[in-house]
Order: sequence, then C-alpha cells, then structure tokens
Amino acid sequence: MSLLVAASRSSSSSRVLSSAFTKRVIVGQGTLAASFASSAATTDYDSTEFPDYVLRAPTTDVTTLSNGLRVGSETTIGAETATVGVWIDSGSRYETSANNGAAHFLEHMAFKGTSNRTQKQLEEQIENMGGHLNAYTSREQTAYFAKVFKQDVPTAIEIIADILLNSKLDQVAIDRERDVILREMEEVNKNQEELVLDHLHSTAFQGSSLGRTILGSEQNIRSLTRDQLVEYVTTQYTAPRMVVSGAGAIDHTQLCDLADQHFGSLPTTSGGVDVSMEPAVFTGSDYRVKFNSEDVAYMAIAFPTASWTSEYAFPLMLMQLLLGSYDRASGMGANYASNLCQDVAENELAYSLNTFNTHYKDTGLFGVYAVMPDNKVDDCSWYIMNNLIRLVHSVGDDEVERAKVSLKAAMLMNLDGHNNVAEEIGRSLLNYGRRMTPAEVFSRIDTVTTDDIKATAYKFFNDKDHSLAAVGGIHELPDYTWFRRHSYWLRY
Amino acid sequence: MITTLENGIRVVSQETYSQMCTVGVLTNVGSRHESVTGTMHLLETMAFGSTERFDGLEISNILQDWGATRFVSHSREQTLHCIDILRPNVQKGMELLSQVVLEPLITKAPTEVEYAKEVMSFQAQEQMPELALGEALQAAAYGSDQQLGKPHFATPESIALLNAPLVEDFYLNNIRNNPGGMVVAGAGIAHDELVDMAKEYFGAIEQKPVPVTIQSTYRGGSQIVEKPQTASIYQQTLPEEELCRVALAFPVGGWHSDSMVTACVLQTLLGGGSSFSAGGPGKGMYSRMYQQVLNRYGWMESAEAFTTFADEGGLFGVSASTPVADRVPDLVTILADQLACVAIQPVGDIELSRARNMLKCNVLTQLESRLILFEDMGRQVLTYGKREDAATTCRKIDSVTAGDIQKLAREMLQNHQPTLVATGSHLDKVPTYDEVSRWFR
Repeated sequence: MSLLVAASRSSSSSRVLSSAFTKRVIVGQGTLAASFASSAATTDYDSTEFPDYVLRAPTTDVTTLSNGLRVGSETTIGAETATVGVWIDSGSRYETSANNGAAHFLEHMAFKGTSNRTQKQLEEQIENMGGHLNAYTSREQTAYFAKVFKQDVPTAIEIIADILLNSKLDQVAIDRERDVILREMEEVNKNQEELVLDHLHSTAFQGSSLGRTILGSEQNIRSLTRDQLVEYVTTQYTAPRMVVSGAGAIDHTQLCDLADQHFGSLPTTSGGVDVSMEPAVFTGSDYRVKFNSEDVAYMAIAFPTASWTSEYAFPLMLMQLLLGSYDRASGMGANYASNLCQDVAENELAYSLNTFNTHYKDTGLFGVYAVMPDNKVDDCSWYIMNNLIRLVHSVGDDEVERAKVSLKAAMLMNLDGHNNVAEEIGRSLLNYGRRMTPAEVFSRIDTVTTDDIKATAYKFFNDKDHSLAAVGGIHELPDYTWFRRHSYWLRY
Repeated sequence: MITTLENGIRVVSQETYSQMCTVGVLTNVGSRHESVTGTMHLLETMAFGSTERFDGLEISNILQDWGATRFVSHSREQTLHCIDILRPNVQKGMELLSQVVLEPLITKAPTEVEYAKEVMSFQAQEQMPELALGEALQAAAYGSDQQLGKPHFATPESIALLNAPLVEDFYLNNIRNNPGGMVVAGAGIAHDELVDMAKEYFGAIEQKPVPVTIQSTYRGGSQIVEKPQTASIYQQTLPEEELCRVALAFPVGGWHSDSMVTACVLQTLLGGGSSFSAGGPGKGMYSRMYQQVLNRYGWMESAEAFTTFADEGGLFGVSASTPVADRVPDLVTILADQLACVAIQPVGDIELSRARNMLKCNVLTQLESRLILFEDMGRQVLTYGKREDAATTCRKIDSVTAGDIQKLAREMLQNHQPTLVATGSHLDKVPTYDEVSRWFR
C-alpha cells in the first residue's frame, strides 16, 4: 500500500546560510520519522508539476546552534511587525501524577517577575511598546511568544529568555497564583467541549500521563511546591527541545545571534540524561456524567490513531474533512458538503458537531464531538457511527478529491498572519524536525488515494475499541457494547 | 490602486504574493436602510444559497472543490460577501460570487427562506447579552424612529413579519441595481486581473435609484431592557451568574470626523476588558479601566471603553457589569467618573504614548491578515472613496495629543445629553436617567 508519498524533492526547507554561521549546523531532514522519507522511492518527482503560487512560497530558514537549540524563521518583506517566540517540547505529558500541573503553573509564574525585572516592570515594558506577550501549555508543547514592532524584536527575545530562564518563582507569588489557577479551572470547566475532551483523554489514556489534564488536579494546584517547579525547569528546558521561531519583519541572521546570546548557555541534556516520556496506553472505555435535569447532551467518541509523523497522518487529516463539522446557528443552511453533516442537518440531530483529529508523539485520537438535544442522542449516535464506518467501505473518489482541495486550502489559510506562521514553524520543528514546504504538503496530499482512506479507516475504526465521554442529558445514550457493535458492518 | 468601471463599480486591490487570495464585493447598504428589521439578516443567512444557475448544495460542493471558504456579513451601513480561495481558481470564484451577489433565488426558493428564518430564530433566542446591550445603546442614543436607532439583528417578532417577496423587493431595489454603491476588492491578486474580472462579471448591472440614507441626529436617552439570561447552547457554556450590564455613552464624530482617530486613541487609553481574561501583557493591563477600575473593585465582572462609528456620527462610551446588586449604583458612578476624568484633566504622557503604540500595533497586526486587508480596503473605498495606507494611519495616531483628547472629552460631555442603557439583572438598582444626567451638568 503506497499510502505515502513524494518527499525528498522539497525536503530541505532550510536555505543555505551565510558563512557567519559556521559554528551552527544546518538542519536538513532533521529527526523526521522514517516513514516520511522511506516511501519516497515509488514516485517520479520530475513528472510532478506544482503551480507557481506553491513554488513561490517563502522559505523557512532553519539554523541549529551548537547547544542543539533550533532557530526557524520566515521573513515577510515590508512587514512592520513580527512575532517571535520559543516553542518547547514539553507539556503535561512529561509530568507525573505528583507534579501534574507544573508546566501550566510555570506558565503562570513566568509573568510574575524575574531576577531582572518585577512583574510590574515586565508588564509595563511590553504594554508601553505596544507589544503583546502570551503563552500556552498543551499536552505536549509549551510556547511563549510576543508580537512587537520590528525594532523591538531584540527586546522581545531578551524578555522571553528572561521570563523562561530567570523566573523568580517567589513563594508568596506561588501561593497567590494557586487561587488564580483554580479560578481558571472553573472557567475551563464551564466550557463543555473542553470538559468533555478532558474526560475523553482521561478515560482513553487512563493511568498514563496523556490522560491527565493540563491544569492538574485541584489538590496538585494547591500543593505544588517551588522545588517541584524549579525541578521541572531544570529537567525540561534543554536546548535541543527548544525552538526559537520568528515570522514577519525578521532577519534570520539577527534572530540567530539573539538566540545565541540569550539561549546559548542552555544545557544540551539535563544532567547527562535525556528526558523520557511515559508511553500512551489506550483503554477502550467510556465515562458518563448524567444530569437528568438537563436537556442537552455533550458527547465525544474517539478511536486511537497514529502519531504526527505516521504514514497515516495525511489520510486522517482528509478523513477529518470528509466527516466535517456542522453548526446549527452558523447560518450555513442545509448545504453541507459532508455526508455526516447533511444527515445531521436534514434530521436535526445536533446543535453542533465537529470532527477532531489530534496527533501526539506516539498516538492520536480521531473522533466526533457533538452537542445534541437529549431526545436525539440515540439517532445521532447511529448516524455518527454509520458515517465513521462508511469510510471503511464506500467512500467515493469525488468526496476524497474534494477533501484534498479543502485540506490544501485550509493549510494555506491557517498561515494568515505572523502569529500563525511563527506557531507553525515552532510546532513543525518540534513535531517533524523540519518544516514542510507547501509544495511538499501538496504532494503528500495528492498521493493519498481513496483506497488509502479506506485502509486507514479499516485499520483504526473497523471492529476496534473506542473511548467515549458524555455529559448532560444523556439518558438516551446507548451503552458501550452498542457502539462497539456498530464499529463494523455485516455487509459490503 | 482604485479603478472605477463605466457603470460606477469601484475596484480596489493589493498584491500580497500569497498562495491564497481573498476577493469579494461590498455594498453601501446595511440594516439602517431596512423597512422591516431583519431583512438584511435574512439575506445574510441565505447568502451562498441557490442562485439562477446553481443550487445551494452545489455551491457548497464547488466551493470545497476549489479550496474556497466563504464569508458574509452586514453592518448597519454595509454588506460584505467574499471568498478566500486558492489562487488559480480565483476566476471561477469571481464568477460564482457574481451569481451569489447578483442572481440569488429568493421568492423562487421558499424552503431556503423558511430554513433561514429558523436559523435566525435560534440566533435571536441565543443572542449574547453584549449584543443586546449594543442594540439598546443605539436605540437609546438615536431613537428607534431614526435609521441608526433601529435594531440591527432580527428579533423573534420581526422574523414573523419577514417573507420572500418583501426581502426580494428590498434586495432588488437596494443592493442588486446599485453599482455606484458597490466595491469589488481583492487581496492577493494583480489589479488588472481583478479589474478584468469585475468588468466581465459585474460590468452589466445598471444603476437604478439608490437607497436613501437619512441622517440620524443624536438625542441621548435611556433604555433599560429586561432580558432573561438563558444558558446559551450556541456558546456551549454553563449559565453565567446573573449580571447587570450598564453602558454610558456620549456622541462623537463619525467616519469623516477629524476626531475619529482621537476617539480611538482614547478608547485604547481607557481600555479594559473582563476581570478574568486569558492572555499576558499587551491586552491593556495598564489601561485605566484595568488599573483604576477592575483591579480596584473585585465585584466588577468586566469594564471597558467602546466606540461605534457611522457615516454621520458615532458614540464613545464605557460599559461594565457586576453580579452584585448593591454595587450597581457604584458601578454607574465609577463609569461616569472615568468619562469625567478625561475631560477634567489632560491624560499623562506615558499612558498616551502607550495607547498610541498599542493602537498602531493592533492596526498593523490586523492587516497581516489577508481577509482583514481585503475588508479594510473595501470599507475604506466605500466610506471615503479612497484608500489610506497603514503608514498614514499610524502617523495620524502618533499625532494625537493630550489636548486633542481633552477637547474631545469636553465637547462630548458638555454639549450633549448622555445615553444610559442597562440589561440583565438587578435593573431596579440602576440610577435614573435624570440623576445620571445631573452628574454631568
């Protein structure tokens, strides 16, 4: 099965850099998983023609410093603003049950003052220059980034380095922050989608670190100590696991120099040891919180899939578009190009529904999240399962072709604005070890066939255990074995 | 570059050299021109539905086939239809867009009208409280007998009045046959290419009598709107605490006023937002509504400055919310204080320079987006007949002085009656309009 794809033609996303960088290594293929590179032999690259607007895409400059830190950037000619930031290969996955929540706690503390500036000085400096400083923590990545005028790029990098490496972690501030994080937890839990997806992870990956939440348990938030936070920084923040990324009014040479100046002293390993990550172990299971008083049901059902670098990654992305998403209040009318969405719209099965496709380092989750009236849960479940398993048997060439164009457009559309480009560079370098050019992405999408989609659906969905999380008015929700029984068809 | 076609349509574009491009049509017709509230809302909901040549599902499918995403919106004054599309498909996209804008089926597609009305009913039920406050503000400031005071969104009552012939009639007389009020804009496309396409697909329409914009005059006044706060399914959040939301506003100049940029700088300087909001420094933590209001009063849920602009005038105001009934009178006093303060005392150099920088950075950041660049070009040409580049806007922002701000604040507070609106809970605690007016005399 030639699931993949042309690759090496457009492989090196890095431009040859000036000799000023002799001490640095230029990243070529990087740590890309073998699957991306190996199947290349089957395609005749010379016959592939890419349109001009794809080949003309700006290059991504990538440089590796001597300590292993990578610097990636894309320059927009004429830009007056830039986004710069640090993306770190670290998140709640790297925590234990004892320090779960530390990565997120640190994100909060980063803004509370360093050995060089107080919280007030930090905030005023950023606001006075009209900049924005932001951060996020996910299950596998942490990012700190700033949006500034082009003349403030050096200041921005200095500030980001300062808050990352010299955070004061003042005990009084830590204790004060506990309440803020608990308040944030309340806000997060008010969002049913986040709540249900957290429940989904905790049941699907029960007993492993991927099952824990990003914020950590209430008990951990109340009890994490300064030492635990310091330990997290010293073990996690090593140079090879960090990427300095920039987009917009960026001069790559200058960015490398700044990165070297401020992050050059970071260690390559933590005490000579590479940090390990607990493997994700999937358990087919469900988690239900029933409120008889509610007339809305929130449900997510998912199957375990594959990692970022898997050969199934692109077929899965296409399958996400094949199933699509629907929102009753969006005013899109009943005209949905996806079969699932048409079923939902015609039969008024859900208020909203979306297909998600999440990748992690060693696994992924693919499924559907739906918000339904309580008396439509049974019907909607049937349509969701039917459409998922339909991908194994009777997906059409025309749908697949349509999904391919949509995926290309969606990937290009996402790059609107410097923040998005900087994030894409940071995430790509961490996930793939390099950034794919639009030409490579297009070629990978083009080579996926309808049979590949069927094979992928067969591998991950057909007669497989699922995980499910549901909250609200779910008295109609079928039991686990009903869903399990509908994960295969007895006809072809 | 701006080109005017023979029939009056103006074409504006900018090349971005990106792999996607955004093209679309803007018209100078909005909800203020409606005779029945919700007409434009219905047209927006039905947009990209069936046309003379395609049915709705077909359009959904071909948009996907071409890698296109569609956007539709309407304001009180303008309407926008656009698609973001893979570059090689832009010609086909423009052709489809001309179908959508010039040949939509309305009376011939009764089921689509009914479906759109249903969608609008959901939206009306689940209207966000902030929007309800905004509607009340316009009504109180201008009176619902004037164009700017009319509701912008359909209400459950007005949806019942909408029907296909009425909407089609409005469409034909206001939007369809009004090339002089149309702008074709494109971001990420060569100008000549866009002009050729505009000629081909929009060159044939002819000008008929245009919709009348009747100038609205500011009156000032009060509206206290009781609105049950329901849990929004659309928002997917649990019911919030019972909040009382109050806004206090005064008139300022509109789009064409010299003081518009001053009003924007003042808005940034007062700033504010929600007491609990994500994001680090840069969201305006050192703006006055954070420093002097939200950080000081823990019972305040949100507090922020706002502006709304229209052709003939605008509003500048402050709004806030609290769940604590007994604090509602204090909340209104604090809002009034914030406005009075900028009139009495010139703003400081540091906060002014910060506000200018933040506003400039926001403008430039927004314009990084192809979609916003498209929208900005189109709206500028519709409003001003020309396009100002970001550097000029930044220079204007830089030239705003503390004196300009004080002058603006004094003019609005001394010469006009206030507008006071409230929605949500604890409305009996809101001070009367007469009392609030007296504070400013």
